[in-house]
Amino acid sequence: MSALRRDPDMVRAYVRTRGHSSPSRDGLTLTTLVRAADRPLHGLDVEARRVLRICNGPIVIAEIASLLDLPPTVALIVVSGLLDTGHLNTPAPAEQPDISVIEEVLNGLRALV
Amino acid sequence: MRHETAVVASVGLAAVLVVALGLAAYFAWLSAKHRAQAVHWQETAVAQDLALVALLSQGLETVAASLQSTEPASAVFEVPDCLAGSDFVENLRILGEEYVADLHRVQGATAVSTRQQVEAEARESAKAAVKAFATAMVSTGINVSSEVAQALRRHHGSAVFATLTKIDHGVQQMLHQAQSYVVLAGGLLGQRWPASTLTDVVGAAQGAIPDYARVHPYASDRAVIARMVGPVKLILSHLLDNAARYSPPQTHVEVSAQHGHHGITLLIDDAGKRMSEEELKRARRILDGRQGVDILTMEAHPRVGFPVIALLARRYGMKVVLTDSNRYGGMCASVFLPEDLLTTAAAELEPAPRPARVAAPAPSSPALTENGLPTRTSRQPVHAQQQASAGRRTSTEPARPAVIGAWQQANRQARGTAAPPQDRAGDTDVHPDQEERPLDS
Repeated sequence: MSALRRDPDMVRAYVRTRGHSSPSRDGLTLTTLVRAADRPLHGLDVEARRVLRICNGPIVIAEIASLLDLPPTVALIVVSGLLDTGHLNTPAPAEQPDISVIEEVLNGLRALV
Repeated sequence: MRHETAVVASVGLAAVLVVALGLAAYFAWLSAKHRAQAVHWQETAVAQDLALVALLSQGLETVAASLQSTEPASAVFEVPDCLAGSDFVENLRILGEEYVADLHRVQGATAVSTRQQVEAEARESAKAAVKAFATAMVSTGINVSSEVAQALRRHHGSAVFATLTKIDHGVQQMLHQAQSYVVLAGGLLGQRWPASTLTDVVGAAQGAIPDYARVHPYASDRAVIARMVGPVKLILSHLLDNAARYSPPQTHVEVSAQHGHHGITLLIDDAGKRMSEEELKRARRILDGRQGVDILTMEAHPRVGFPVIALLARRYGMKVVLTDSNRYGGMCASVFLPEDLLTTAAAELEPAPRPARVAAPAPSSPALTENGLPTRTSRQPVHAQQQASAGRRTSTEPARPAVIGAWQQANRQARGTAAPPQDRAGDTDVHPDQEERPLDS
């Protein structure tokens, strides 16, 4: 069967968050980077599984929302639920790039403008 | 000799005379008798005329007057004394009674046919009114829900989200009601969906009921063909609503499925009150189509669920069956979706686990952008950004590729090497609870 176009709003936002209207934890923003922990999927609902499926590598919440066509707040709520259950974690930032590299990037960007 | 002859002659003459006199007297008597009879008949005829006129004027009038009342009256009319007790009067009475009986019969038949006609017309106009109203509600509801969905993407923040989802929940319930009445009034749902997975259809049905959070959703990659999405959603939402409404608030409503040879049967189980024998019979009569719902005899809070389900199931070839006493002691409703209403959902419905964007930054891979391969709309902005940045990168003279490369490198390191995509959620069509509670009914 050919690919189907999906209506992203067919399942309403409150159903996706199972009635939660705010993230269970503070401090999460759309730019927070998360990554899947190796945990069994047992007991997770549909939305959580969909999110986990694309979180193999570190990914920011905004991108999760974009890839799954979710309203950003829905992504935040689902992700915070998964952080609570330990299915996702926030990886510590990898080794910082060298300050000189950042300076060069800055210079490059200035040159672009 | 002559004397003898004379005597004989005179005696004969006398005899003749006597006979003649006798005859005369007899005829005179006969004539008098006939005359008297003629007078009597004339009188009788006049009396009969009078009686007939009396029947026509008085008797039929009393009958006509009695038609207003429900009690059938007999024709009452004056009878001349001379006719009292005669056959003629008796026959007139019988005539009058038959007339009354006929009149009442015709009146009854006319009343019934008139009522039927008036009711049919009233039903048609009520249906048309309900349909027009409900269709307008559906159309407004669809617009509002689309607006709300867009607003949910546009505005961030928990407070806005809470308000918008509350509004949305109300709108979805209103849409659900309006669509039910459209179906009852013989209309079409008026909402188009693309072919969708059962997961999405169940999720959409969930959204239309007040107690959506108590439904344990079901996940399956099997999809319902486009024109069936609306009907299946409406049927499911009525069944879910029924299940949630009649079960204790701390219990769950469970959706599961049997993937059979001829199609899929969705099962909706609750742990609530069972229907009484009579209610179950009534519900089954409605579901079998043996008992419809009359739009003219609806109560203040009509239960339209089962009639709507029955109409949709019949129209689209599904089968809905109610079973009492499932494994939770509650009710189980099953919806059989024949294979020709289903389709196999493509895996492309879900984005692939992490596209290998870092490894293959070439954004304008023709397979993704040009030839209509199922690129999801949500990815387009990403590609667009990549294309834009790529375009700028090539066109800007002083940019040093080494710097951009270093930046990308750092970015890649920060993200860590993308793990090879593994299908973590490959078992999405297994209900979490089903793993422990295999379907035994």
